[in-house]
Amino acid sequence: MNHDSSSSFQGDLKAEHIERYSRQLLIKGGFGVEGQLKLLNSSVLVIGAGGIGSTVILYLAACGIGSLSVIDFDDVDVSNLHRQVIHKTNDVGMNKAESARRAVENLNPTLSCKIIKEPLTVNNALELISSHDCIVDASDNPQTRYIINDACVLSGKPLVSGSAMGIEGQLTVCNYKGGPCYRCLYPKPNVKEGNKSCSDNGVLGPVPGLIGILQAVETIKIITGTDDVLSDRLLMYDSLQCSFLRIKKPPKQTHCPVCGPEATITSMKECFEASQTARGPSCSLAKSEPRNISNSLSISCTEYDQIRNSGDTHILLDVRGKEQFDLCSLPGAINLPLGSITQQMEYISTISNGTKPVYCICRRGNASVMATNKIVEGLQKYPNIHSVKNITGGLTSWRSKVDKSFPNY
Amino acid sequence: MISIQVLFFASAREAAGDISKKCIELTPDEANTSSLRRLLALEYPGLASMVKDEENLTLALNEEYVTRGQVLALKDGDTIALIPPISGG
Ligand SMILES: [Zn+2]
Repeated sequence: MNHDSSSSFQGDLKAEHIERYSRQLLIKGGFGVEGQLKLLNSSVLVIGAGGIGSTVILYLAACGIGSLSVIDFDDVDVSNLHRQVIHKTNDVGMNKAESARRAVENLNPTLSCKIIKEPLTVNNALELISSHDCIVDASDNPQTRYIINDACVLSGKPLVSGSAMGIEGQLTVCNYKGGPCYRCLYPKPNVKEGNKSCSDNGVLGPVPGLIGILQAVETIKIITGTDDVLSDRLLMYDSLQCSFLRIKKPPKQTHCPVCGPEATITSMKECFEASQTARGPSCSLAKSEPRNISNSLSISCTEYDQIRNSGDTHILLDVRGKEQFDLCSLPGAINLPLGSITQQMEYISTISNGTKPVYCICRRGNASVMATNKIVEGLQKYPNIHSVKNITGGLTSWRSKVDKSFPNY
Repeated sequence: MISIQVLFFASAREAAGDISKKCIELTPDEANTSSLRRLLALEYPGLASMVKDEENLTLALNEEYVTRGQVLALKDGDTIALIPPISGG
């Protein structure tokens, strides 16, 4: 059952185990000595040591999962700390799996914690997943979620899936005792969700933490063989309303491309081909490629800084969402979120007034390119817009090239 | 006319303009999940691309998933939840 013989546990509980786990051994009608032995003999792979991973890893370590593996390629950033509570301020810059292992070893040195400091991909997923008893998805992007699901189906492993964004979270167990898989539930990545990431949309710190704790409970139930694992329902948590909705899931889908009888995904290679359509940003991989714009419509941050310093009158349009604009902005900037540009052409024309050039800025220089292009399209209809240019690289570049004191968020 | 409650979650909530619930009136002709998808697309243009596609946005009727390809009748007092996946972690 165990993939790592050095940690496999034989025989009865030792005195140190009885002492450490006594409070869970004593639960009335609980899993008892037999259940504890199952935990000590089990191996669990947690994918992602972020907000959800933080709590699920700590609780799985604390309860005595004999062999715990954590995979995460990313490093700890100070903006992670409000929710990724397994990492401390001193860990900033350290690989997240490494930081998680240190926390686990402090908490429970009696177990074995293995780490993988790489991303989970179609190349390593099957080997990693098939060598563990239970898989916990604490990843942060749709593509990884489909890879994990497919590898779990192909290797017959139960998948404890949890996710969080904004003020909401979801939890369900997939591929458990003939139950539906993640693709049965979500056959393709959501069009809107695909464009979201925590760094752009924010997340309320305790929400992923709670989802991770609930995943730890489901994992313990799966390993100890407790009834009523959350496999036939999807739990939806809304933190602002404090509502927990339990939606009854459909059974395994006959047309499911990976777990159905006529599955088209029968290997990780086919999973890769299917996943090409499932690309979405990861919280940590949100380095989207710059959008196309001609050089004549672009201006660098340093050039724009000179315009500001020379006192030339102009309009600076900040096209980020209001939440981000309220966080920090350049003095004098006007906030017109990208989605509102088309409706605001008349207004832009009025304030430009045939004399003031318009400059568009955003966080990284992608939305501002789209905004610039939209305004360019309207120039004929609105001749009073003097001119428009995109500020290359956005506020991220402004911070690195012009003003180091501008907040990084 | 019948009246049903629609609950918006995750990106569906955002696409509809940060609305978490809405009471919707339906004529007897419209009292089914397929017409509801059409009406929601008209009422919330930001939601249209999602709500029109069954593979993109799942509906739950009274806390039970509506299987794809299935059109269910709606009655007064029913609750429909719009459930997109969440991917963050
Ligand atoms: Zn399936």
